[in-house]
Amino acid sequence: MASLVPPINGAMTEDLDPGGPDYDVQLESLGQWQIAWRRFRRHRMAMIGSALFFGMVIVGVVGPLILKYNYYNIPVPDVHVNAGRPPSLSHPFGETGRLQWDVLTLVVNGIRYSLLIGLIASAMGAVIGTIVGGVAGYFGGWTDTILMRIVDALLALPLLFVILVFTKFLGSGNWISVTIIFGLFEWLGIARLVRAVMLSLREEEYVDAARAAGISDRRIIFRHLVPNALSPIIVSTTLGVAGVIIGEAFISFLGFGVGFDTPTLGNILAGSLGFISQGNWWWAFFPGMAIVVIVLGINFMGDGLRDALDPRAKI
Amino acid sequence: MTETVAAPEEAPEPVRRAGVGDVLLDVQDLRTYFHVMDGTVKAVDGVSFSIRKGGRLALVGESGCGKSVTALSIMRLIETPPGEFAGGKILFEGTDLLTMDDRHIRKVRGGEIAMIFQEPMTSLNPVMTVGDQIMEAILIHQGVNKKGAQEIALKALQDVGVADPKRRLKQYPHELSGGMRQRIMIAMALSCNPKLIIADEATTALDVTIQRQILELIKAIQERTGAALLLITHDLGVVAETVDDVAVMYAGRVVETGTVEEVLLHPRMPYTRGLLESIPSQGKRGQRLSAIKGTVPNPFRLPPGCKFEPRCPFGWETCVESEPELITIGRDRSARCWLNDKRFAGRLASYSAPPATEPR
Amino acid sequence: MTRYIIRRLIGTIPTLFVVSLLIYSILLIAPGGPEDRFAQNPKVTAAAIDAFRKRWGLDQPIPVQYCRWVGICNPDGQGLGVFISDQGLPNFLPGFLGGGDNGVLHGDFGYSSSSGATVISLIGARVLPTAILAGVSLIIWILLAIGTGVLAAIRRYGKADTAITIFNYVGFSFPTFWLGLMLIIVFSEVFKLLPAGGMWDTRTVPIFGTDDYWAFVGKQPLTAFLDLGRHLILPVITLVFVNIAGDSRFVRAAMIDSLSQDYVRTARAKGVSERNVIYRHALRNALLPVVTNIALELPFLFAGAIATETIFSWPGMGLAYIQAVNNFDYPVLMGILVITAVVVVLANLLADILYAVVDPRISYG
Repeated sequence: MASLVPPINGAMTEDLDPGGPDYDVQLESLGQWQIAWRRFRRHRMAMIGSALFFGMVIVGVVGPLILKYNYYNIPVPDVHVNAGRPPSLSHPFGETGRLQWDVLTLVVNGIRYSLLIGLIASAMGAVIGTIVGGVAGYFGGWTDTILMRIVDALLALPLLFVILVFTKFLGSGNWISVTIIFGLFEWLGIARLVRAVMLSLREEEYVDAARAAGISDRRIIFRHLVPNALSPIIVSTTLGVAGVIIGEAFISFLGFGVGFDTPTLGNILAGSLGFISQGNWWWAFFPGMAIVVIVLGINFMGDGLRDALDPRAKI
Repeated sequence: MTETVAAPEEAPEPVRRAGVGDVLLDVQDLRTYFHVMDGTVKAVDGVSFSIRKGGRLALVGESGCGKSVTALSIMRLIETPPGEFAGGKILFEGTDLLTMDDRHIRKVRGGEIAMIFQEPMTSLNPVMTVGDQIMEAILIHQGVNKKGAQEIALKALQDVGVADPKRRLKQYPHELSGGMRQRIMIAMALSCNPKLIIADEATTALDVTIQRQILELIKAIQERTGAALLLITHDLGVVAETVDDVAVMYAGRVVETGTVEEVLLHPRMPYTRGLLESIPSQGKRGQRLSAIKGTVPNPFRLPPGCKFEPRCPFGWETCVESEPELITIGRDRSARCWLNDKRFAGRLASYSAPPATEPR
Repeated sequence: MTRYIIRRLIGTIPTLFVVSLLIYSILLIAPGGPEDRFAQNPKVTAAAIDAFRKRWGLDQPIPVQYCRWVGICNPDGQGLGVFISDQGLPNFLPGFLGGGDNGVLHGDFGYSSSSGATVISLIGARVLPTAILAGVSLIIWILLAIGTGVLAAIRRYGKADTAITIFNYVGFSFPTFWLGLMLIIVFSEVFKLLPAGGMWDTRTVPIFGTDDYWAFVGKQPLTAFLDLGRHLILPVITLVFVNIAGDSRFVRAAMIDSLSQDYVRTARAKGVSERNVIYRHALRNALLPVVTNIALELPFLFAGAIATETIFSWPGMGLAYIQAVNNFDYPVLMGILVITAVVVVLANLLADILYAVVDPRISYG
């Protein structure tokens, strides 16, 4: 078949020329965060998780103030039961053993302190991690190598061991020192994350453009690159809170964490161990359930955040 | 060429026939919709055409016009949520593929209709040897044992021009070049003697020189086996060399049909003409590139009248208000444009300026 | 490939050195030490504590202690002779070549400061119980994770997917030790169905790992097996329930990704049955990242076992670790930490090897 030559007439087409009366396509333009918020709202699990988590926050903030029993003033019980009395109207979560504290008061205070530790440690981790990771990823070369080797070495240290050592230095039992220790661990993961994002963003053209315009490195890192890394940072920090809460619970349970003068969900559980064989299940059950609810809420929220902030997902 | 223009009220939706002999594939008013978060996309909205045994038809259009979705719909390879077959029939040898049960459609896939996809890089399973992948189809459709399947596979590889087929059988896809992988895909398609071969942009992802080879190969195979060919492409140059008949698609509808000469030399739908004029060619050397002004319409905001009207320099009020049907212009020739309506013959005259050159 | 493995192994030696040095130094810098065990005991005099410290070499400067522990320094040496073994050659050489016989390089991890047994024998006795617990849990949760992950992926957003997802998240949110505690309360205290802890029934079965035990297994294999099984149930459930979530979600994500690939469409276009599309094509590809992920999770398995072993009094390495921490038993601590570090390194290496084995596209020079 002969090769066909199309009619060259030019009536249909025009030279590509800016300024022609093109038909604009009208699209609803949404900001990046508005889109993310919309997607988050649609995520049913995320909304449930948020409700759970913020509900617990409210409990932790308001609870100790409105409860009948003050944590520090333990009334002497009228009937002495060594194993503590089970849940009843006056003690909805029952009583502990020996001193017969109100478990509900204990748990509510424990929620407060566990949340405090989790949130502060994660925030610390996020800030330090972003700075270190941002610097390492942006400058690359020796800075990057040295910083990342330090991160790797610190990551190789087992948590329990470090806690043990630190409690010897800082004196065991202070919830603030425990928070700091966790914060010093949390930043490692975030640093690696931010560094990875930096390494890929660094190659983008707008970085060269900014540098050519004379913008200082520090400004480039923090005003231009970090906002793009914000999504994984947010997700990672949120999930980190859950990790710290469970981690604190574990070490307090083992006796290495926060001392008994400040109640955390972990050390409440530690105290309950000895009385289980005497039939006291409520002392261990309620603090644990509180942990489960908080962590579950955080995990649901984190899942929703991850989906909402994922730039690759379709609208 | 006789010009019979029917009044819009009377003209039935004409069906495109191609090739000689009985009708093999008859697509009637196919509608495939996708339900996404922001609404429903009518990717294919009333497409009809047919192919005869041994016939060769090209479905042409820009990205997003619905041609790939049409091809996938024929094989029912659309995920049904979010997709939906909202209407129409796909008659293959008389049976409607859309209402077939799963067992039978699987027999049709690969056995009677075979598809060659666009991306040879990703269309082959990276962890299976090439031989296993070819033999998989043979074992399903041909009822032979493993040894027999291997022989058929070897022959298929030879037919597509692969040297040293015994060695190739044991190789993995990542060890082969793009052109070689596409030959494997073609071998896979052929191995079960299909009656219809669908090539969905089969050469688009390949180097230009390889494109030519693969096209020649597809042509040669089609001629030798007598299978029908449905070629999906956006490349008009490919169309001219490979098929007899053309159907042009825009915004989910067929907008022009005819033989290759009819459509490419005397396009009766401004969109087709625009496509032809925007092909860079020798005659326009030194000038600026040309393009059809405007952009493909937003699937959620389609204009109420002719879908092409916003970009058409020949349009007038009728075009804005109502969408034309496919108007029959001749035997197996139609165009979805008011210019072809008898009532607007005057406008047709100003549209049909004589073409600059005739083919040799 | 073998060359790659050897290269990797050699490359990890410096890291191991650095990490062990780091840990050792931190341990020794911290105030207190093995002698803290006696801190509360009024009967132990200061002179006795000093003698204790001298005997265990705790009065030496840290670099010397580390050096001896590694096996580069001769504990009997003085001054610069410290690097020379009793046989007159550099101490770090193997014994049969004239080197010393102390330290990690020679397979000597020292003695437990709380029990006096060699660290090796102590850890050795704990390895098998941990291996049994971790191994059984791992197999069960891998199978369950793959099953649930595939199911959730193919019925995405359906009821099965939602149920599995919720189950995963709930499981993930349980602190391991608390779950164990609750299981003990329910099944041991309330219903008295299963033992509350331990690895064997102390009334009827000899101590695990001893010759008596193996003799018992030979004579009454079924009883021994059932006894072990009864004690395994609760700890395994605990470990599986908490750990399944991560892998299940991962399998689900990998399957969803795999199912959206072009080659799956090609397989369907060939007329392959849906079952074979899922298993022979999609799952086969999805398993690649899953397998490496599992290999990388192995170190965390040991960490999880710590909590479980503590609650259930399971005599494994995790429990040994906790006991060593409680007793400030430095040699045992160092021994376990070194072994953990080695496990981490080997797990990473295994992950890379598996990836190359399972994916034909990868080959290491």
